[in-house]
Amino acid sequence: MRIDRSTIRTTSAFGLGSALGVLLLLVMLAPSVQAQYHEDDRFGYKIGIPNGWQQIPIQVDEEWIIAKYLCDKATRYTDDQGFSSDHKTDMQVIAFIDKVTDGPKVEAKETGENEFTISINNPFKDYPDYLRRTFNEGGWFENGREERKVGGVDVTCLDIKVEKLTRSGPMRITTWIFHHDGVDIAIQFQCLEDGYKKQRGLILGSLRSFKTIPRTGQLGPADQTGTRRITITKMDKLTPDQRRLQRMELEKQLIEKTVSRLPNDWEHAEVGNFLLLDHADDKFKFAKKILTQAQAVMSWLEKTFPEVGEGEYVRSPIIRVCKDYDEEKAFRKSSGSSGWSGMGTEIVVHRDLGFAGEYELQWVNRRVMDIWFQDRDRELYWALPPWLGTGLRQFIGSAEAKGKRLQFRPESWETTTLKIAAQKRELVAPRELMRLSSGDFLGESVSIRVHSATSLVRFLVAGPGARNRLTKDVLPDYLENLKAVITEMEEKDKAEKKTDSEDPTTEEEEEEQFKVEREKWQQRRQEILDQVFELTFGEWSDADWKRFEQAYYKSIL
Amino acid sequence: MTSLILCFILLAPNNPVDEDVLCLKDGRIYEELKLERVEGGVKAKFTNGDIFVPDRLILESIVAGDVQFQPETDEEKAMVEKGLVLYEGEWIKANKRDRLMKKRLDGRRQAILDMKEHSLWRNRYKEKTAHFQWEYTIPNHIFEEYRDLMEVYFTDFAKKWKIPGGASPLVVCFYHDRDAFHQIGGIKGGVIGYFRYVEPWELNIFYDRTDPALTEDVMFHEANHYLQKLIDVQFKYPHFPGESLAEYYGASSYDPKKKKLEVGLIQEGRLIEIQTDISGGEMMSLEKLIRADRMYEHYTWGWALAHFLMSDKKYEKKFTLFFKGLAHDRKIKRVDHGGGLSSVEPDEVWKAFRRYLSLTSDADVKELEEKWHAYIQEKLQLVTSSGYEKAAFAASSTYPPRPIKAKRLFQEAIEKGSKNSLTYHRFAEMLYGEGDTEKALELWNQAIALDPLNAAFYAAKGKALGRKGQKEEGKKLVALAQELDPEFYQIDLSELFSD
Repeated sequence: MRIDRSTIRTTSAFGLGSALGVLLLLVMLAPSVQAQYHEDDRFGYKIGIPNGWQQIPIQVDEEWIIAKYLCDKATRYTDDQGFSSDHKTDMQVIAFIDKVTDGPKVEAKETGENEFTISINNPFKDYPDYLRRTFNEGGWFENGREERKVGGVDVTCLDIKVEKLTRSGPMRITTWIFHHDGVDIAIQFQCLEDGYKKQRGLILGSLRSFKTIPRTGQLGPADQTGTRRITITKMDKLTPDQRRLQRMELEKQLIEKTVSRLPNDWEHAEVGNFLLLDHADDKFKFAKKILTQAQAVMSWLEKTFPEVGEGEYVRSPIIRVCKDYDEEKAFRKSSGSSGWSGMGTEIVVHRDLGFAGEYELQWVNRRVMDIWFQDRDRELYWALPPWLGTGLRQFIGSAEAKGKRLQFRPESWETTTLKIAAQKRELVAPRELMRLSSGDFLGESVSIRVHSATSLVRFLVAGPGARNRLTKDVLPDYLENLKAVITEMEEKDKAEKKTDSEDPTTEEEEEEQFKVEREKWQQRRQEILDQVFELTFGEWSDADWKRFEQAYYKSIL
Repeated sequence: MTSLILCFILLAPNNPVDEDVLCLKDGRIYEELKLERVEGGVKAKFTNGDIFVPDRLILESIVAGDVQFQPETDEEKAMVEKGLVLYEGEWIKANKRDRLMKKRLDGRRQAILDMKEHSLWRNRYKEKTAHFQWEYTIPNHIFEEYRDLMEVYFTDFAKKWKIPGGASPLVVCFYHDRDAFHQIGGIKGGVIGYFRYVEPWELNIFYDRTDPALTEDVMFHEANHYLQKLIDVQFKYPHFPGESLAEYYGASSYDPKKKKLEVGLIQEGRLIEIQTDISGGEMMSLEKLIRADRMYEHYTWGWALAHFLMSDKKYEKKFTLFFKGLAHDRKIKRVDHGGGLSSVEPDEVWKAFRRYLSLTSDADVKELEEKWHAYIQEKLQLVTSSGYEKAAFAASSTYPPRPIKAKRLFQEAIEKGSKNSLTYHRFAEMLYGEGDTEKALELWNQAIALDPLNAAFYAAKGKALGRKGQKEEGKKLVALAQELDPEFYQIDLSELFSD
């Protein structure tokens, strides 16, 4: 049998002498510093939570983590160079149900018309496997392992150190895995190594308070953690009306599930098309600001791109406002099992009225744009060329709601970069910019191209270009032409697949086919850019270009 | 206190004192086995079949039955009746032999237990040499070779490049496998080694038992970044030529008998990538290569450029001066890299490269580029079976796959004497996919002969037997695979389970 090194029992770190010392320490500690208990009658346990710690909501599609808490106070780490970072100790409860469903580990089946579901059963074998595959805050190793009993329940106690390539400084993870009646309940505390000594008593006190309580019902496949299900609907096979109904149903399920997973001290409200989840403790004040912003962006998109995915239903975004950055960070920690349906329409921010609040607004703008385009026309969105995709993201990021309308002002570094580039004669002409492939767009001096693309989009949709007869329809036309070109290419691909293509019979033929295929993909990207450009500007004269470029340069310099 | 505890574990009633243990030279340890000594090796007995493991793979094997003396001749039987047994050529009392054997077995078992214990990072070995401070979880018999190699490598490079002395030994973390490297080293994805160039400096690598040559390559590559650092500790070498030179020195080889290090060998894996690019119609431009920031091709085409320049005495001198000049030459403009380090931007690297290599005109650049391209296509060739293996893997897995080429290369690798079980396995998979089950089975048998304890080979062979109609035999092999490695599973077994 191959040895699983992680199950070696050892007393090298928790030797007999150390075990006695720990026991003594536990006896000496105050019996409890818990002001509250977390109870879970589904898994049948309760545990004391340290005083002042707050509960963090679980992501809607989370399959493994069943509870989260965050310390109210931060610990600081300062490195050798003098840089500091703060960290709040967090607690997670992760459940591993022993019972494995019969059948293959991976199963795919048709679950409806135009729909099939892939089930991946128990992808995490146990807690060490879970940690190995999900932890990404630095290199870690087991510093000690001990077996003991707490309240009659067998427990595996792990002491884990996080030392190499850490983001916020060396960490300590203390995890006790309670083996309780068909479920392993892993209770994990993560703190800074610098703060471990001070917090150790609190952590061990909480872990020691674990108790079993009666379970309601059986833990079965419907409740099982450990099974990840991905449902894929062949949306493009449905009519717009069918898609609308499908999306509305998904939306309803999502809202119900999201609200059901909210801790008691969160507020929620449905406002127009949006669901607001608020923990900012300011009576929805900041949340409303975010909502106003999101609504303004949504309206602007509807008005500016009416023909994109006309008639398609856009799912209601969910806006989640966390109290602060630490809470948002804790919320975002997941097992990686959150699927597309949840986080896909959720916009997570934290209350910040300072400088960082501007980044929150940029983030909101871009997320709303993602949601809108994905539901209106995902294929078109993914096919946006670098100048337009980047330009649009940067442009929409700069938008700020004034009432129901959006204002677009360039960032100061955009203006500065372009002015310097102009002085050095390094500005990129629009007709060159619009034909750059990804490789060329992202090459050296990328910032000039990024800012050029942003200013070009601004010119066309919100600047002088939007009011000029020559250019006011450029962007809608460009998008329409792009859609036509990629649709045509897809039809052509399908037709080519159907015809019998001859397999090569010699190495020379194979090499030739290899070369053609590789070049084809590079050429194809350029072909799309060139064709769309030709369709959009094919009838422009040199004089048209001159007028356009003069007006554009005047707007940016 | 610790040794007493360990002894307690060894002697405890349900402790496997009488259990057989198999420890392979590549570091794998198998316990809870039933072993039987046979000619040429041991037989490992599983519920679903026996597996022969040849001596050449075995570092240590402990068979409980070893303690018992089995008389074979009449003379031996007569001596046994007198209460005597044979031990190392002498007839001694049976209980004395048993005691001596047990002591020896306990010692060997302890050595294996130590190896297991030290595979945990918290119990890692630590050893200091002249230039390195090692922390490692690989078995000592594997470690010693790499330890000596690194010292020679360091000395050789330091001498040639006139590296100033006085640096404290560099911490080198050497993990027993890739998973441990990623987990403890804290890095994910395609990274297979790294040098931490800000304080505290540290080098992290792992031992790949399926490709020890790659382990060496990565070790030399990452150590080269450290050596580059020692040229000027306040300077961070830009991606080109830093990675390219590291790749160049990555292909080094040490002859322990001659005590000689040979550098600048062929990086066959990189050469294959270049050849794939050329097949796809891409020839890298000299200027594009050098002016790019953090381009992947610095590892491939960049290596080939370094190899080309270092192979010619005239260019070698200029290139060496260019490399060192990036850190020291006052005419070169440096920028702040952060962390108290300076570096040079790609445009400036290009300017310096042209100056040092005397490329005063665009025609000079073109000429050098042509020479370099010709060098790649005419002088750089695959040499070893390992190179052909890599080429075969690339041809079969790069899109679009080239199966005709891949098969030829697999065959050439085998003809060159490949001892890599994965080569046979992948060739078998390819042929199986094309319907040539018989040939595939032959190859799987060869893979198993090279590495008899690899579960994947049995599962694959079992599936192939299913296709041939030998379903029961096939299922048994799949069950054997799962016995051998409980974490192994194969999704598509429809050929075995469908009617």
